[in-house]
Amino acid sequence: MVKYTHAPADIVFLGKDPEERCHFYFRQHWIRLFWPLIRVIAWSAFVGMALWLFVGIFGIQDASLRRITLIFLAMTWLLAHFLFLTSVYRHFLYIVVVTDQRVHRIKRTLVTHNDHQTIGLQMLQDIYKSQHGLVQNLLGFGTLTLEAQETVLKIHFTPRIAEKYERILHIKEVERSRNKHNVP
Amino acid sequence: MITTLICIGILILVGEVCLWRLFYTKIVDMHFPPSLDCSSIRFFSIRRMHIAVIVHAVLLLISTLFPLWLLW
Repeated sequence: MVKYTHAPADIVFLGKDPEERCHFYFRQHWIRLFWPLIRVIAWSAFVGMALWLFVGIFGIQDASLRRITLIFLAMTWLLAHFLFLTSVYRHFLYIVVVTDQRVHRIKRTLVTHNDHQTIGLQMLQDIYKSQHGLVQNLLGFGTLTLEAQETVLKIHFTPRIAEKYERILHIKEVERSRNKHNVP
Repeated sequence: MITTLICIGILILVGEVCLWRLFYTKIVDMHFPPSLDCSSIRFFSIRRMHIAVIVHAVLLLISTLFPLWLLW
């Protein structure tokens, strides 16, 4: 039995400082799933057409050849769907967490990748947002670039980028003013 | 025919379960309250994803095994 538990008030993840207070987190824009979706639809259409052509119209008479064709098409169908499922999982394993101290970019895949990059808000020198093209501007996503002294963190496909940009700037300013007041 | 269909059915279930277990082991150490989620897709919590994966597995079983059974 799998239990889904989470702390109700805060986010917990590997690499998070106990002192950090989380403001928000997000995943990449849903447009990242568009091409995997188109690919699975195209492969499904191909399998359907092949089934219709080889088994329906031409009606392969040889039973063993027909069964080999059917198994080949079934495997192609399954492979396309499992690849789509893998893309969906990968989408959900790419998470950006913004806390009061740092921005964490956690990028994992099912088997090969396990990256965790962070950048301190106090170390930030510049924050850029860029939206190129009609699709990015219509759907409101783009690339957020966070620059510190020796580190550049690029967050591609940031959804509602204008809002995220403003919120990160706001958090940075609040923390800066709080630190100024705390300095004796 | 039945043996082939059962083998393919088991293959689908094993694939779905293995992918889900891999995903779950990767995401289990990150707990996310939905109130802080600012993603473009906010519907899928882990519980809802699990349900969606079960539905996907059932649909994949039906859409693979039924045509095979018809055309074998």
